[in-house]
Amino acid sequence: MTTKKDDEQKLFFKNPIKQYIILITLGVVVFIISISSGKFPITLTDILRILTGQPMDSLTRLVFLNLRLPRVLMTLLSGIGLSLAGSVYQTIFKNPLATPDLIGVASGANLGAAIAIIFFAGNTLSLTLSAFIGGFIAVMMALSLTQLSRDKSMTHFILAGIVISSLTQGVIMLLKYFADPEHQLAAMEFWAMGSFAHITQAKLFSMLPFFLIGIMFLFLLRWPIRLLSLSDEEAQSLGIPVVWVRYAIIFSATLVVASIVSLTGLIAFIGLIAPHISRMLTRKNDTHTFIISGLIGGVLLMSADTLARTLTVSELPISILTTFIGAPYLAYLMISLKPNDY
Amino acid sequence: MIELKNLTAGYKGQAIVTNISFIAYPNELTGLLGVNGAGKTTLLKTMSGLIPPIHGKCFISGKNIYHMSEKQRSQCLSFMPQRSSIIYDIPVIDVVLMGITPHLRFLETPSKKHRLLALHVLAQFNLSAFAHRSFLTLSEGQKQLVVIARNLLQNASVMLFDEPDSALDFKNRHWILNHIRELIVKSNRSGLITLHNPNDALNYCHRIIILNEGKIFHSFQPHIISVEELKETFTAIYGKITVIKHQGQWMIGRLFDESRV
Repeated sequence: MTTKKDDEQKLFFKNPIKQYIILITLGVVVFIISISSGKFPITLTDILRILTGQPMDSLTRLVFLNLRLPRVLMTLLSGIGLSLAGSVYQTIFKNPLATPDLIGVASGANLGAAIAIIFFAGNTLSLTLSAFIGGFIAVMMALSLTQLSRDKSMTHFILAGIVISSLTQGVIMLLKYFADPEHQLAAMEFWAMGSFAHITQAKLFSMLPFFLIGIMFLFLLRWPIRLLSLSDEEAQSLGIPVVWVRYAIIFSATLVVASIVSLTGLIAFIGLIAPHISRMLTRKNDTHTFIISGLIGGVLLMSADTLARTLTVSELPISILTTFIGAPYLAYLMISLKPNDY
Repeated sequence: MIELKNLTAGYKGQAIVTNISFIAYPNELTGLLGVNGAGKTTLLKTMSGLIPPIHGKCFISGKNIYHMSEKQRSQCLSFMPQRSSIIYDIPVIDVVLMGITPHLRFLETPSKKHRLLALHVLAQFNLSAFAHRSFLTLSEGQKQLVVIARNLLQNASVMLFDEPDSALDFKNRHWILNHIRELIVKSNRSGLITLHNPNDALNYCHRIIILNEGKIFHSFQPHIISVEELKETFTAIYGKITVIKHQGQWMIGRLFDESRV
């Protein structure tokens, strides 16, 4: 039974300070757990010694600074980036089931990675670069396709995404067919399951500029993003050049998502569920909701990666875990939500 | 003031309304009346720049709106859709605040000053208590009033309304139409509204333009038109009707054949 106070809380909005405090605290706790878990034992005392510059054996220091810390930071940034982009896409496409790869960035990156594996022996640099370029080209092709069509409504953006994704899937299947099953095919499959296992300090630094520029653009575009939650006609009548603003937002979100997936491979579900949880917590859809969605994604992905590293003897691909978290949650949403209850 | 000169409008080059010319004056609510498919909404959307015209011009204060950018156009012209398309929980104050967008600089977000302005506009409509509620929890009538408040914050000299009463019950319909008329008269703006109920057009509009089969069939001012002329005009559009003027208000009723079951 709901009390009058509960009803009032449902109806009135407050600044989500409580949610920020809880999530940031949770984030710090998960970060500490994550940073001290893994095959190579590093205790909290070791970490404190390294951070305060006290003497420490060089192997522990190397593993911590070059592998463990970049990896955990990368999971945090990936969770933030994918969930923020998901939140933005669900808003501008007026579709609560939209994901950051709606316009083809993930399938483009997947194709890019597959090409690198087959034609450039799959070395790290070529894989990352090719996946990033693949993701970007796919999105640009989808946008050009929309630009060529007479109708530039939201449905056409989604359709263009489907066309490009299908096309890239076709090419990927062709490459898989001709791939050497033991090495190349396995590498392609593993890439598509996502992993943070190969993140190093250098890789983290290589993605940061693209990630930060994308996030900065999204932050600057925060007001137009909210206006695009209206119909195109309403947004246009409020002075928003809808098509160009949508291009700018997609471009910025693509920078963020491509910079992540080019390093980690595909990560399922985070970009879909974190925005939902955020809207449930804040009971609204504004800039705070986007940021909180990012924080939720960060916490979820750090937790998932900690489990991926510790659950079994050999490390699990990250998408296996995010799928096991995401799919039941989606089923729960499907059963429990009323129409218009986003 | 908004002036249409030989405007032909439609979709994909197919004309729905042809050669429309008229003026909507300041301090007046002009009604666009016509049966379904007469082209009211097409004309209104073309006037607001949402659909490109096939031919013709549309001037506000001597400037052709089709030579303006979206931003310039939205500074002198506001458009109210039949229903708002909001699907997520957005605080009412933020919905109203969206009206300030045409006056923001590139990449600027609304400031505290704009927020206060929005609160002030909400107070004008006695909606202050709803400021921090979700727009989705409001009644259809309240939602429409919030969108009118948003349009008021937009502060354009021409306000277009596309059947704002279409989702409303009897009481809310009159409440909203009264607000619109009052707003137009008090704030020295030109208002243009599409309606499908002739009674509402006669009692809330200062001037009525009747569209039929894509053309202007008749235009008149309800307060000076004679009963006979009105009856003749509306009979041509709606079939057998009767017109009564009671306490200064027009009432139109459909007459049925005696053979009606």
